Amino acid sequence: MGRRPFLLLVAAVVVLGGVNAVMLVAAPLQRQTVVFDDYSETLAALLAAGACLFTASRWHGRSRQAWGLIGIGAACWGLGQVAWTYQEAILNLQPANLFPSYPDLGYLLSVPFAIVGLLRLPGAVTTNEARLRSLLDGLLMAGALLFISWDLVLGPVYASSSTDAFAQIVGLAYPISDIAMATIVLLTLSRLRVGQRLPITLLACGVLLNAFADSSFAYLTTVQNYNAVNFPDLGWTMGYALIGLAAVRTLRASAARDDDKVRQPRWTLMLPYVTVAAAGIAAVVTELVAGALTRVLEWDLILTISVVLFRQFLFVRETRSLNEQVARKNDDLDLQVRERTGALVESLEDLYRSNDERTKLLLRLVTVQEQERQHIAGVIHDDMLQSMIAAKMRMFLLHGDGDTDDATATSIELSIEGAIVRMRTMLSDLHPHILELGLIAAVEQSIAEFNDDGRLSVVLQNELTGDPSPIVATTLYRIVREGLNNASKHAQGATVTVRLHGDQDGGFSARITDDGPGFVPRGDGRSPQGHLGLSSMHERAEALGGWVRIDSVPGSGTVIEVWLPQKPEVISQIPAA
Amino acid sequence: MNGTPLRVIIVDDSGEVLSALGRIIDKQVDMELVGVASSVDDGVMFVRSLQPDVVVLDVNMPDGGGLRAAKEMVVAAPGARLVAFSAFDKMLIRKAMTVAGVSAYVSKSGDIRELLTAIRAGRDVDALTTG
Repeated sequence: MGRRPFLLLVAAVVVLGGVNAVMLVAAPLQRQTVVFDDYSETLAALLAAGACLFTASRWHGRSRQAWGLIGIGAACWGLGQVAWTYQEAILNLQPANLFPSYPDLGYLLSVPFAIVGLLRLPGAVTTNEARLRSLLDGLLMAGALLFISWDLVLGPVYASSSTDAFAQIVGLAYPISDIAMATIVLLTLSRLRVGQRLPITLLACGVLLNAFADSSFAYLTTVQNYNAVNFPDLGWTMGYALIGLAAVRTLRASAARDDDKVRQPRWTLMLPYVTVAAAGIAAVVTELVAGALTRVLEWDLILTISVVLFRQFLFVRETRSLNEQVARKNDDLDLQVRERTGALVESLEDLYRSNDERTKLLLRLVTVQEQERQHIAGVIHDDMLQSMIAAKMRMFLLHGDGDTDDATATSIELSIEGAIVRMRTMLSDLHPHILELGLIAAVEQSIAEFNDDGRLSVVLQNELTGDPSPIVATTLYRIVREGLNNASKHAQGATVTVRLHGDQDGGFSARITDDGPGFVPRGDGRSPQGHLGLSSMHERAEALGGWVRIDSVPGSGTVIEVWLPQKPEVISQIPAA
Repeated sequence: MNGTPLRVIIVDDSGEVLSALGRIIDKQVDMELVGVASSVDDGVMFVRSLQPDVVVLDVNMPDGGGLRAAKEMVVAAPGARLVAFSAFDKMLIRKAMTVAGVSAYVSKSGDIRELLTAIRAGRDVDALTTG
């Protein structure tokens, strides 16, 4: 049901209550008031029964049972009221002569249905402690309500000297069932779910109004004064109207599941104590007015206070056990954290170990590769290249030192010369002999070659103060050459600065800066499209335990920085956190 | 032109080059091959004892290579002219050899006549200075 229709219903209930109240005040004992009251009570109870049953049909589980039973209870009461209305409004009998009779059958029959229905409302009683607490709360409130009821209603009813025992029992049944209902409603309120605040509060108010009206009726019947003041009628009408509204409102409430976490509004915790406080006030007032409490009231008070004390004892015990649980959980958590930390440290160590092994392998790979290249270069240089050179000299011997017209001889000479040139190129790729003159000499040679080529303008800044080991020198040289190669490919005409820096202690570094067009480096620093060489730079440097950093912004040139340790070795310790 | 042939020593660690180059020099009427060595140490020893006019010196050799050989030969035979004959044509190596005392640097991959010209060049210089 939407918000507007619900508000309209509320307005209708308010109007009905208002008219009823005005009539009760303006024309208390007039016939039209009595008739109007009877009809509006009947209507309210039957409509509430319909609403509850309809709501039950739309729900399932505990909610369905609860609303169904409350609906049946309301229907019983409504039928009892039909009988009453028939006797009072149609047959025009006097109320005093109508008690006890058929209507009471309907009224009293509605009580067990309502009680069981209220108890079936979805609650949060899941643990034994919570069950015991609910029971104690119920006892507390029942004790307090009994005190108030005995003080005000039950006592006088019991004491009234009705000759008819049956009438006395029926008369007592009303206020006793009212105590039970009020207790259960207060209990329900004390475990209120946040999502169901409005419907349950409406229901509770309705039931409490009914109970209050019942007790008032019992009291007024006892003192034979019901005909003079019949405001209980208004209580019943409004009570059932509120129950009907609660049922309608529940249609809109979110589906509450039994496993829902209950978030109790704080004031509900106070409910049992509020009833006890009310009983206390009643006790004081009675003491002052009557001079003494009756024996029943005294015992009731003692029992109620005992329950309060017992509940406090339970509360203290529960709090202590909860504290212990929290402490235990903390310890468990601590232990778990320590265990997990240990496992993490272990896997971190594993990671470093396997990384170590990987780096060792890489270093070995690079070293072996260099050695192999050097070996191949040696074979080519000492054997094949010299043979080719000798062959060229023999061709010279063959046709003397004069020019020859022999085309075959010339083509053989050209072939040999071509082979020599290719071998030389291959040699300097395989193993830069120039490195034997030192890193600086080798880099200077490369720079001279690129400058001669005319595609770059390269400047060297030499800040070296020591000699790197052969593998470091070779790697640094190859990376610098690769950097210059890249620059000549992607930054033609650029000015390039090669800065060599380092000593025996801090390792050796090179920085190649160009003012070319730049590019967008990949996040991992590897080669973007067309810059394959960058990957091999990283691999070479990492194999020796060093690093390569590439900084480039399109339009702002490129900076390649490489650092290598003096003595390549693997990092075998976890760095301090 | 001086009638005495130029006394030449070749130092190269490649036997094939030694034999081919030896025959070429042998065939030159104005040159006389007085010795061949396949190691730096032998080469220095021959140069010291034979005091040649010209030494054709390979650059890329074991045991310190042509650079060490050149430095020692300059001392061993101050009158001998050193011609570096190398498969590599790197500017820096050329510069290093020149600093060490060689007066010409010829690439092995070039025309063999360039080497012969370089060997003879000394004579022209000598002729100019002596006569």
